[in-house]
Amino acid sequence: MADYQYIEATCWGKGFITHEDSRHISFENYAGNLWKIPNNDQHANRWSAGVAGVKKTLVEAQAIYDADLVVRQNAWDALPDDAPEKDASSSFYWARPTGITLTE
Amino acid sequence: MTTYRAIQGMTVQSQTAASTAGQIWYDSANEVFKLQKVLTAAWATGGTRSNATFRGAAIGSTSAAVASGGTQTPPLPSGPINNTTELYNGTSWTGGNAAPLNLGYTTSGGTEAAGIVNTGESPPGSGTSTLHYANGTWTAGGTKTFAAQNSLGAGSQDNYICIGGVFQPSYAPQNNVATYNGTAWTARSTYPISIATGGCSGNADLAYAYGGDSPPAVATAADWSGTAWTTGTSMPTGTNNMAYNSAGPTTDVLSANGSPSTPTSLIYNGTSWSTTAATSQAPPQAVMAGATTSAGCVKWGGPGSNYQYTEEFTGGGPGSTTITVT
Repeated sequence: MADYQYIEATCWGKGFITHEDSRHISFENYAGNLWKIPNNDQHANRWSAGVAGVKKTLVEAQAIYDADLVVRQNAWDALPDDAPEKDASSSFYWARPTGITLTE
Repeated sequence: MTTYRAIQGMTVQSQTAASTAGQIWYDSANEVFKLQKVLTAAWATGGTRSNATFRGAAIGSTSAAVASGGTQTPPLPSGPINNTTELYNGTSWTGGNAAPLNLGYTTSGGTEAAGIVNTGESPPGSGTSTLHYANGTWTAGGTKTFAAQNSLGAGSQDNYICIGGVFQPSYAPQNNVATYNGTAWTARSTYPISIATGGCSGNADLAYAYGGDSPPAVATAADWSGTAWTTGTSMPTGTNNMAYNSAGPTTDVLSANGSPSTPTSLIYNGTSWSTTAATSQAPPQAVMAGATTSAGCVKWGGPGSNYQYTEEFTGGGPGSTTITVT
């Protein structure tokens, strides 16, 4: 049984996650409006229902994340070769975005 | 069966505020039952900004914050450094008066009524400009004694310290230090190491600087007495690009996130660091407004399209939660 679940929900701002919510639930936000929350947890399930979250399988969540990653990588690739973001000696250096493998 | 009165020594009281921890009471003002307890520190989502930026200016408090400039995303990972200003009232963001300069990789601090921004890079800016902010009005301040961006900075508009940073063309970290009295910058004793993208709290008279990129990311910290630097209590791990409460005192430091991407938040009480509540987002290069952990802080930004979100920190302590009676 997975320890975590992925919920797709758009954060509307104040009240989306309250201080009380985060005292009960561990939240991890990923690109693509993905929220990783505990599985089989009443607090987490109630929160998901309250924000009209849509549960995604691990495969579906990974696909959403990967689609956003491609956008970020394309933007990085479009930078000029002499951009500070591509200069490892620069404080602006920003490595080409790499993806992660989501886990449950 | 025991009763609440037997346990607590009194019946459930109708009050406007709780008396003791562990008390169940009726909040007559809001007409709900509540449990008074010691709450743990936590982050919550705040209002959503119109712009996703990182390393812009952060001024003010959770209930009156000013976000200005920063590097705008998308496009990612870096986009135009801009001068857009947004104002936060504790609930939502609204548009404010644009800064007279583009503000990139700044240091900032102060309040909505008396804010300060070291402009950093405002391409192709000098890296020495200072801006004052006062309830919607931007004015020019003094010229800093050294050019830098991604510096460490803390304090108020008339009592500010700026440490290190990098600047074109080499973008090598430097150890310059300057303090600001609201009118002019004065060069001070150099920081013990060359540093950029670290954290700092305090002001020109008493400051605590920590972490940053030397490179690599360091845990090193130093205390500023107003005249000299001494070795400070190091961070648990080398961290840079964190969000921090630049308007806070040296005994109530909040450092959140950083590079590499982490949801970790840390508090320094003037003696030691401890881990506090984790954030739901883990961006490097976010910024933070707010002075103390007890009053709360608000952070925003990061190099990604989903970083228009805001997160609000509330420190632990006495508080009440509503009890649903069915």
